Amino acid sequence: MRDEGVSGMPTVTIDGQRLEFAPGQSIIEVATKAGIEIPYYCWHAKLSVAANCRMCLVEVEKAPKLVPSCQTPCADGMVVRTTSEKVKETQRSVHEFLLLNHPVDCPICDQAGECKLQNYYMTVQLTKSPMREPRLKKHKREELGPYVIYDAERCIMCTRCVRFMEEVAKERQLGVFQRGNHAEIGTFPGQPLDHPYSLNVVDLCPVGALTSSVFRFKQRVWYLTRSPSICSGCAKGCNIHIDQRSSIVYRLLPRDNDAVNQCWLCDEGRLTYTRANDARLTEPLMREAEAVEPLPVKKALPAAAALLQSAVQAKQPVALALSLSATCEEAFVVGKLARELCGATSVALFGYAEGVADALLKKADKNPNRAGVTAVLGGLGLTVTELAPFLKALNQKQPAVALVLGHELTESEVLAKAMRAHGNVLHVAATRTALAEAARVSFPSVSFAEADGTWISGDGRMQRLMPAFAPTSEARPIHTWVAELAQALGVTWMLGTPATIRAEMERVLPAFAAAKITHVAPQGQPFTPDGA
Amino acid sequence: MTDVAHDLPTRNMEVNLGPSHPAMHGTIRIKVELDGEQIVKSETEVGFLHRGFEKECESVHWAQCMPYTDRLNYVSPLINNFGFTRAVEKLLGVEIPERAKYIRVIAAEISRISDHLTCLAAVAMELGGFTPFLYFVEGREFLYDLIEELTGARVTVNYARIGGVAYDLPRDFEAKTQSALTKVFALVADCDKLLTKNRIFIDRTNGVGKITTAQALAFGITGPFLRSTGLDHDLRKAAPYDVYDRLEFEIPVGDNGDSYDRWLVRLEEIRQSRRIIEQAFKQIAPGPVLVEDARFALPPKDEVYASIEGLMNHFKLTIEGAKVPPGEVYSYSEAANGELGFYLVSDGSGKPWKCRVRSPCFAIMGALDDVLLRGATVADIVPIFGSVNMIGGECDR
Repeated sequence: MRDEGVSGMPTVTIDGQRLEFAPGQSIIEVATKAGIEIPYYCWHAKLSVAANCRMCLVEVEKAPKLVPSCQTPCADGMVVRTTSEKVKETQRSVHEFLLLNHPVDCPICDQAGECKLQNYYMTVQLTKSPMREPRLKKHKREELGPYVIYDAERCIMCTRCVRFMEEVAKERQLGVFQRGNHAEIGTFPGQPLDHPYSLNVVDLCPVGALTSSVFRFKQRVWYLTRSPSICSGCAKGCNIHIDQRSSIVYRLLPRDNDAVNQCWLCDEGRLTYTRANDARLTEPLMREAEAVEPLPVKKALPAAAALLQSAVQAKQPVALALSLSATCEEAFVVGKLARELCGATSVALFGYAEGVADALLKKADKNPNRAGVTAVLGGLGLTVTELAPFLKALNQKQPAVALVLGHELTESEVLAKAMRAHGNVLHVAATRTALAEAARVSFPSVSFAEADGTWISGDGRMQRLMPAFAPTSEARPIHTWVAELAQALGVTWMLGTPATIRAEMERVLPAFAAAKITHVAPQGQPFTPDGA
Repeated sequence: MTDVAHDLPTRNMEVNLGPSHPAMHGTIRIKVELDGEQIVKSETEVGFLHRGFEKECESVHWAQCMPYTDRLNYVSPLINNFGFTRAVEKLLGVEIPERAKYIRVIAAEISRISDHLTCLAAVAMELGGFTPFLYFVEGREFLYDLIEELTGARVTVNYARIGGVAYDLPRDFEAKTQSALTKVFALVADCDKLLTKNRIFIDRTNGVGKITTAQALAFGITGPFLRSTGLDHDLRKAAPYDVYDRLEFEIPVGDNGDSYDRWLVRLEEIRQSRRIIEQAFKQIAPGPVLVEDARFALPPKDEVYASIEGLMNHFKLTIEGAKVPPGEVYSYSEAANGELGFYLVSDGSGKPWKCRVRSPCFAIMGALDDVLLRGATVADIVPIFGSVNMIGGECDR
């Protein structure tokens, strides 16, 4: 007799709760979805089932012994108990085994604070060590590859990392060597763990066995504050978490989004965290002849405004170049400046050079918002050009004044040279590059970690950048500087905050109204340039 | 008023006492309206010592609240320590070891004596008796030495732990306590002789700052203050905790509810506390002083340094705090000034979701304007206030 649920689906009873399931779903999947917590180490929703950690054993009625809930598919009418004395006793014993040879490492272990061993010790074990023998010594600090360091003593042999390399990265760079107590994870001779997605195994590792050589010993995790954001590494728009402390970003971690990156992130993207920290432009710079001097905002802004005003009043041409990493909000205000004050008909776009795409996440376009910037400027009736015409114009001193907004490009030297030669280029950038030194006046802007804005990925997904912290220096978004310049020129747009800009964008740009830029869901939403 | 006075038009005068007046002990402001010497009306303003204790607790782990409780009633900090842990233990459903219970009783009674000595000293001093003040405070000093030996600090004790106390009694603590108490009570006897039958003292305290049992109850007053009105309400008897039900002691009561009775009640209470301490030392047996429960009690150091289980346990308890099951609790104990209550709410995290203190002397502050001071003379304000034993840390929290 079928025990059917409301919707005709088969049901299973877990801890007294009658739950529907789709055929083939395992007990742990159904339980987790219903908020019933079953402890586990080796199970991972995106990897194959290994059932080797034995933490998720549960009691199933009429089954002779406990079954691993990750491996056991639900059957109609099955009755499962996850908190019975027998299950609890088993969890305690299993955990005791896992800790038998575990080194006394928490104070020097990066995982401490986000370690499943620690968490489950408090929730399922709570006993003293039964170990009277000396602990087994194994390899420590083994460099598996450029970014991943392995500590065999901490490893519980869940093989998540091995399965990831095989099933997701599709390159068998890791394997299990030796047997029993002596088993270790390792690489094969002459083949280090150098896959472009290698750092995902550090996330997957439920304990401190695999650590990132980049993050290692930099910061204790319980001091870090986590906030959601979007990776700036390429046009994929992978969802990330920013982990920061005192306005310094220490690492980027993947944030689950099945529509974009599942739960993965490439190494290249992870390492872009330095963009928020390194060589930041913290105050305006002004260039007099060959000397570049810092200047307070209240002096730099009038100086820049005067320069722009003289060109605007004399109806001389003003050229603009905008970074492909700018947010849609920034592009909108820049577009308004171009059209309404500078009388420009085009804006040059610049960005990082094309890279290599792969089958998993990486896009060849290394700029996070090409789609967004193009759509905004196009929507405002501006034509977008490559950087070459802008450079040419600059070299020929055609524009009286030029604006270079953003610094995110691969070959900045050519542009810097042209800016220096021209002499009257205003610049806004988060990082102090050769461009900042070459500009007449440079203003500090925010990094991706401080930005409140919207990016549109190469796949047409509109996603929101949330500020992880407020800028600690004079840094302000490009749109604020542009609006300040406009204000100095006597035009007030009332576009002070990203929210007001988004509202205005919905009013002016049909495509952005259709995609509802004012209400971007945490997981993003589709965007089409024609508003369909 | 005489006929002569009738002819002279007078106006009531408003005078400020405090918040920082040399004669006011405790930072409190009393605005009094005077008709000559008589108090027509008064307005008491408390809160000058507000540190946000209750709010502060919400941002630290359960165990980290302990040092904050030291600063509630800072003349008997151990009692606050125990009051707070008792509330947390009630939430956790934990019974502390026998020895810890005895230690808590001993430490609490030593604190009660030192608290009462402070109040008695103040009462004497407010009336110009500076010698008894010095005697009492010298006695208190002997007790502070004891507390320092027990906890490592005179006031900032941080001695209680969830599930017991931090460490066992020091060696020879009983003998040291006995010798300290002998010295203390010699001084108490001196002061008793100097003041209790002193005509001036009686005139200045008898019938002054009177309150009836009904009034006291209406204001929620507890402790020696309530007992001085004749009601023998003491939580150590009414709702015995720790091991008070195994110890013999009397609850002294007064009958007038005035400053003099409060003096007598406190004098007798310290004698009863001595009885309690002596009995507790006779009954106390060796044993653990902290529950062995990895959910909230820190493991011994050798386990922390040598086993991963101990290390993880220590790590989780210090970094994330003990996870107290969700729920709310009100727990109370008899502090030196009356019922010290802690209302705690846990959301299951490592920190209190809400902490509220029912402080005994805050209730008494309510009665100050309407009952205690009304109709009294200016000269009585400070003596009455002294007999209240307002402790800013506890009253203002």
